Amino acid sequence: MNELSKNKLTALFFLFLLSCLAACSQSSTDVQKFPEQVGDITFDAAIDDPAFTVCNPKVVFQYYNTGSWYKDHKKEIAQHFTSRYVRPADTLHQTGYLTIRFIINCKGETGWFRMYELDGHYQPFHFNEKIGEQLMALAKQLKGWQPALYKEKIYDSYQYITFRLRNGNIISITP
Amino acid sequence: MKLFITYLFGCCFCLKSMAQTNCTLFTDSNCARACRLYNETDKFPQGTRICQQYLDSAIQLCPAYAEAWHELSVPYLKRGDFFNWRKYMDEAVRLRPRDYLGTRGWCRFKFLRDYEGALDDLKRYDTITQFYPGQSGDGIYNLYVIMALCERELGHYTEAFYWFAKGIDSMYNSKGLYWVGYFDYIHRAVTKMQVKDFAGALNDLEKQMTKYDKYAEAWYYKGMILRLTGHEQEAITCFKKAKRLFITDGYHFTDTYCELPDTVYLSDIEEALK
Repeated sequence: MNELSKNKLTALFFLFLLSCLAACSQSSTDVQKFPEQVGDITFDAAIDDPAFTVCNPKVVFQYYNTGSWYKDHKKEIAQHFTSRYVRPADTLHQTGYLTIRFIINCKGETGWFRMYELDGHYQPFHFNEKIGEQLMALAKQLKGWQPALYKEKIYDSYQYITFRLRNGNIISITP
Repeated sequence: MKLFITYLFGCCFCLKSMAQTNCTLFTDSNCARACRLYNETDKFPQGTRICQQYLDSAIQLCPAYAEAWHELSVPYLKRGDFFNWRKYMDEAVRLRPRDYLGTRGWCRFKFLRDYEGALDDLKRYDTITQFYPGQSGDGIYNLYVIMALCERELGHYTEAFYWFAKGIDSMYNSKGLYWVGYFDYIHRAVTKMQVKDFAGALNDLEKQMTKYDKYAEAWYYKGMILRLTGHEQEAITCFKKAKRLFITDGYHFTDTYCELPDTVYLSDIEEALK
């Protein structure tokens, strides 16, 4: 085998090695592309109350997996927001969807609140802080939640509340 | 019992919104492989990492595979991440509007109360399907009734009654009472109440009682109309019946995911009885 062929073989070997590495790195990225469960929230020491604990982080239901406190008390929950929310001044273009997602733990306490904001075309948006902070504070004030119940056992569960806003006014609350 | 039925329905819908596909229909080998991956997701709970990875791999193999884009989107919708829901769902709609535009419109109505957006989608879908849009994804509504409710919420009553007529009367005339939805007459009665057509509303509630008379909502709204038209004693009788149906031997509007339009709560009935 002449020197040229040897060099070609070495180059091919490194090319093969590089493509393997690329494939491995791609596969490792894919693993991280999705959380363990869509919509998972993890503890963030910078913003979350350390006193709030999730009883069993391995099994956190979604609100629709069982009967939920929210569904039976939607009317009162909506009234809690609409009767206390004050539309700030200068909210002409404050239109879109503001979602607050959180966990109700097995003791009926709430925590790990996260906010997701979209404009009317479902694109990322940042609402006036007086709107976001107000709705977040009102969500945190809500008490009396009951944990998810399944086969006579209680569980932690995720809940979300979406506010549809038009020019800073709450138009609807879902789900 | 009601809770059990609701739970059972919820479990079925949350675990699987997809049907198995016949992969032999694909002529492209990558798309056939994608199809097999898609069918494999039957084994995993919806929204789990492995389920999403299978769907993502299916899309990488066959980017035009609309079913996989749609299925990837569903858990985001149910869990309140509407940005990612739209990202994936829009691709399914772009690839196969005839299969997914109606679903997107219905979801915009149901989960987001995006009445304008839902109407945009559903009107386009109506045209694509040559004016036979069919049922909502959960099977509860004829999509014309969803369009009627969107128009009502936007204050467009003439348009609302136009779509109600297509979703209710046309279905009744062409296919019979079985094809009228369980809540449809109640929704139209409430709409008629809003425009003060009390006789028309009572007429629809009578039709509802013929279709199904065990919803607390039907009796509550009947009571409200009777009260508004000066028949207080008959109204009280209706409210008492609504309360009994709500608490013990009947049903009230309930849904696994979202509050239904015109839902009545026990506190509403108790307030009416004071």
